[in-house]
Amino acid sequence: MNHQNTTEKIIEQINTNKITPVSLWRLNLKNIILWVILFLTVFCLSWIISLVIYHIANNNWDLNRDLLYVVPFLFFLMAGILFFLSIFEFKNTERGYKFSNIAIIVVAIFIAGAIGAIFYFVGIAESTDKIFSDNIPEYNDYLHYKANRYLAPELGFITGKPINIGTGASSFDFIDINSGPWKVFITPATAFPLQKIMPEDFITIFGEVIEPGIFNAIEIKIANIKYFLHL
Amino acid sequence: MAPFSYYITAMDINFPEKSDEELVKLTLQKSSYYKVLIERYIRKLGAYVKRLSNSSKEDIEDILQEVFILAYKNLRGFNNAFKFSSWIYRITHNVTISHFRKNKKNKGVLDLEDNELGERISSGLNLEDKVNTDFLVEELLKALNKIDLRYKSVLILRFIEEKDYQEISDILKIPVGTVGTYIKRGKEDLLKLLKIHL
Repeated sequence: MNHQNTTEKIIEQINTNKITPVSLWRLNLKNIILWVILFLTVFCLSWIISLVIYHIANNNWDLNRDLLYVVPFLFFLMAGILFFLSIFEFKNTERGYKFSNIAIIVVAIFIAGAIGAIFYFVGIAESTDKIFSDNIPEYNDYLHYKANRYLAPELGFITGKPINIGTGASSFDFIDINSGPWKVFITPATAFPLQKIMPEDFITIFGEVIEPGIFNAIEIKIANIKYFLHL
Repeated sequence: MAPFSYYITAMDINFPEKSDEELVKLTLQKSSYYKVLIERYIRKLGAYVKRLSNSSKEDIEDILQEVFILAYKNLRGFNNAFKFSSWIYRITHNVTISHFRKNKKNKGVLDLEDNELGERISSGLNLEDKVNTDFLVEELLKALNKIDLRYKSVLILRFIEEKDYQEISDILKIPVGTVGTYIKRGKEDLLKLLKIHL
């Protein structure tokens, strides 16, 4: 092949078509757009993670008994899609190819998890949950049906505020936020939460209905009343 | 920028001393310097395209024209943190693969007369003593035609173009560790195929 000819042809094409180097801002635009999309993806991912933390943390869940009820699988699916999207976007940035997939995945989990936890602790997850609960019926149907279980005495759950707990007493009065007053009996076998129950605390009681208005407690956990008030 | 000019003044004649990166800067000021860059790389890139795709002379010329015009358009995007050679090889690799995919009839079969390629690869595989005859070089090239394109590209860049791992990483846009993995797997695949042939 005659490379001299090819060189001349290239120069001729550049001259004939008046080709000039593209300006730097246009070349950088793609990278800037990619970074903006990546930032938005990570933001949405962290937001969903904070909602997942919020729903799990406030569901008094028990791994063996309640896993299928309390884990918001749809949110996990959305988080998974956004997670892989963010990795794909990062790999396509100018220097993204330099990092191994494992390193990117580990760092992405750490960053999204950390931002998600911050969103949860500053109350963004709770506010979002309230806004969604108030305005999107499907959201409630999907996420808060789990909480409904804890307001169903026939399923063995009551949630509300205890009144008149006496030291050493074997029973106390209890106002369920859904089904009214109960007399709750406790036994030496009843499991209590690790932290002390304060008078203003709301609690969920797992157990069984002995007869109308009488409940036998098997396990007691502190409940986040705000979570139930969204119902 | 002014239209491309053929003319380089006497003051500019010392370009052989200039690095590629300096020539890029000069080209952005005076387009005629681009000819120096083209002449510096056209042979190497032509050989690389040939080895990667075994395209016809006409196709190689088309690919090279597309590469140098694309590179010229994107010249401001060249980042001095990278080597110019890695950058231009990356463009060449992408344009070649793009042509390769469009033109399915060309299956990227290596030229079995390319003794240099066979000998260098055999040297990389420490097979010099076994692959001294033309027949064995031919077997090696046949085997190279059969392995995955990713491994073939890495082996060509490493043993023919003599690029280091970092440059291969920048050209193919894969992590340095993956370059090592591809070289290892490419060698293993070649050896497996050679055992069948030998």
